[in-house]
Amino acid sequence: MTRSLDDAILHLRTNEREIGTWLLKTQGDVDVTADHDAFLLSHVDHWAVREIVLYIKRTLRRLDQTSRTTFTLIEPGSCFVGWLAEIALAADRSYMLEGTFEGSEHTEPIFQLTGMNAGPLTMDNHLTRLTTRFWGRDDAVARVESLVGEPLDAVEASDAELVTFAYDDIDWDDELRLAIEERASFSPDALTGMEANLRFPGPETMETKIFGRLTAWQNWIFTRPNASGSDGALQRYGTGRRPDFDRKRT
Amino acid sequence: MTIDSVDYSTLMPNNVGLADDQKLLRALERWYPKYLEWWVDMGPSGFIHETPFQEADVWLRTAVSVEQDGWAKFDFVKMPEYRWGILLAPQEEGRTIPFGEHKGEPAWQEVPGAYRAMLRRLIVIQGDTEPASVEQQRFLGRTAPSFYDMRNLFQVNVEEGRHLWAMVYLLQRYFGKDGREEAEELLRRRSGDEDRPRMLGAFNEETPDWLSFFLFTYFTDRDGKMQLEALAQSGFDPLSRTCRFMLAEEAHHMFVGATGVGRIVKATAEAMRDAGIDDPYDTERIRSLGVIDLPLIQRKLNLHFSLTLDLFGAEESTNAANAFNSGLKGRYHETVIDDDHQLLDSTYPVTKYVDGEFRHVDVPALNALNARLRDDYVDDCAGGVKRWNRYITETGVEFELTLPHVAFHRQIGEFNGLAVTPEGGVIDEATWESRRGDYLPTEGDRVFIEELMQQVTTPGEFASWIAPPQKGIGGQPVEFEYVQIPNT
Ligand SMILES: [Fe+2]
Ligand SMILES: [Fe+2]
Repeated sequence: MTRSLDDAILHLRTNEREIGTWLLKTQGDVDVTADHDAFLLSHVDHWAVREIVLYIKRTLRRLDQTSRTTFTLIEPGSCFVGWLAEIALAADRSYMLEGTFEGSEHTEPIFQLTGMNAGPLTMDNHLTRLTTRFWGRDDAVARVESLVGEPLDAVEASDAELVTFAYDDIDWDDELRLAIEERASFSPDALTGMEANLRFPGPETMETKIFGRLTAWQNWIFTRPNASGSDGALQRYGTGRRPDFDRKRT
Repeated sequence: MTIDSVDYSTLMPNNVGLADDQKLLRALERWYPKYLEWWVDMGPSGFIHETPFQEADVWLRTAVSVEQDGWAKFDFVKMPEYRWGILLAPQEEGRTIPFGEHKGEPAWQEVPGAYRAMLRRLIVIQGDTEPASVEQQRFLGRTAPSFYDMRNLFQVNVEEGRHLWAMVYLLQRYFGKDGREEAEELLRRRSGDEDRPRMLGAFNEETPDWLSFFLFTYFTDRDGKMQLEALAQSGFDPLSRTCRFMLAEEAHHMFVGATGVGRIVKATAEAMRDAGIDDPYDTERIRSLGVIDLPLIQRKLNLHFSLTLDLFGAEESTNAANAFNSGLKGRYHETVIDDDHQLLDSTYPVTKYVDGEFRHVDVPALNALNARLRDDYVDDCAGGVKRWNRYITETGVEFELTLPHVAFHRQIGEFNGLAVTPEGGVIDEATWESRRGDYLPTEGDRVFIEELMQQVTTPGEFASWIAPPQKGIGGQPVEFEYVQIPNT
């Protein structure tokens, strides 16, 4: 499964260069996913398990470093549990459905932390995604870590600040459509730069300096035609005309 | 039910198929009690004898159709029971976006995500002005010069309430969660409130008396008309249709203003003639006749006109350029203007103060849209002033009411901070301040008007300072009891 995610990321990077927003979804059984995490955690000393966990960690770091916008959709039938919940924590925004869709065979979606969220899967800043998310708020980190093992519905997850938005089925389609269209209208370069900033608040490491700051800002913002070109944002600013953006990314 | 017929089966009469949209109906029904609470708290406040305005039966028109003729029906209604409806002008088959970058594309029936924030802001700003004016005018019934005028006031008030409904419908139908939050906020802000003021300056000023009310409906509702005209061009079709229908009601508000000021001017000029007073500045004698001296009317006019000009925003504006280029807000009479409707290369002459004089300076047309709308507005204001002056000349009194210079008494845009006389002379700040009382209403003016204006509650009678109208309204004669106390 990790390999599929890794492949998908690499495929989108090289072959779908104009897709600026990725929607991340999961599908599967919540309990099986939790059991899988428990199994990994109880065998961390085994060489194969260690390799698997390291592979998961590297793959998730690819998400942190992508030049694309990432939205996670937590819908009925999904399994954002443990290491898969890291995908939602890595995303720029996460949307979780309150209740279920009319006529859906699934019940309301669940968001659940496991021990995998509290240690092994650190980011480039050498911190967990939870610590990064609540940077400077140790009490908040302790509070969410106490939720490990608890199945959370949308309201609970949003109260715990684990997801960005919780919408019911009345709003779901329209809010998503508007958010995606809105993203697509922004300068992709500016998004890359600002999202990189938001993905890595707090302390710097060599990796965050290279991937979070240098790559994002040096490659995507400074001296790019999207900003300073004749049809770029700086030239068009104040004229009422929208800039023409080169939407290609890697 | 055809799409354009009005459905009365729901709490809110509507032609938007509310009965079939349970989600939206629920959202609006949740908002309704909060709206009513606002109306009772902040709507017309006062008594006729012992009866509160809100319990009186008022001869009001209610919109019942969206056809050109016969769209309204008159009846006695208690204001809290008014049927605030959601009415859009009929959908035009195959309408395209008339201007901007998307010109010629089919008009949007849903909000384009790229413009969501901009569009929501335009709707919220428009929506905010509607309840604001009701709040500003809430005490005026206490000094109404006749039942006829009291009715007109209440008519304007309930219709501003309906305009709020119109904007709230758009927010709740098209803007999801944020839209619902904005709809709540519209009921939370209060005109003139220190902590939660209304969004635009002129809507936080007081409307302390009836001369102000008429000038407000003449000048400030006319700004509303210009904004609605510009939004009626919008590529977002539901907004366009909503505004087109609101314009039908807005016409009456400006009629109330234009005729109201005219009747005040007429009463003054005729009283001067009858008393043999030629000098319009013989203030004491004129005021002792129970009428308002013409120079005071001019000062009030100066105030309301200049405050309203500020509502058009800075002459050169990137926001306005963006809204136009995106196809959200057009120009006055956009579709009949003969140009490319994109304005990428054209210019527009904007009045500026350069090197000691007022001059037209060509600026990119896209950036000058506020200036252009304001210029159209000033032209639109001229007609009424001309009619008012006719009442004066008819009596032989020598005085002319005029619109002050656009740079006079401005807080926003090019002329902010410039000390300009109503005639357009630029003078130093200290001199301007020393003449303030010649330009703008004074404390003495306020006291005089406050004492002058008393509630008149005899059908067919009018206060001394205002002439009766030429005819009544809603098929009734002038002396009709337009506001009635139940069981009398
Ligand atoms: Fe209005
Ligand atoms: Fe109005």
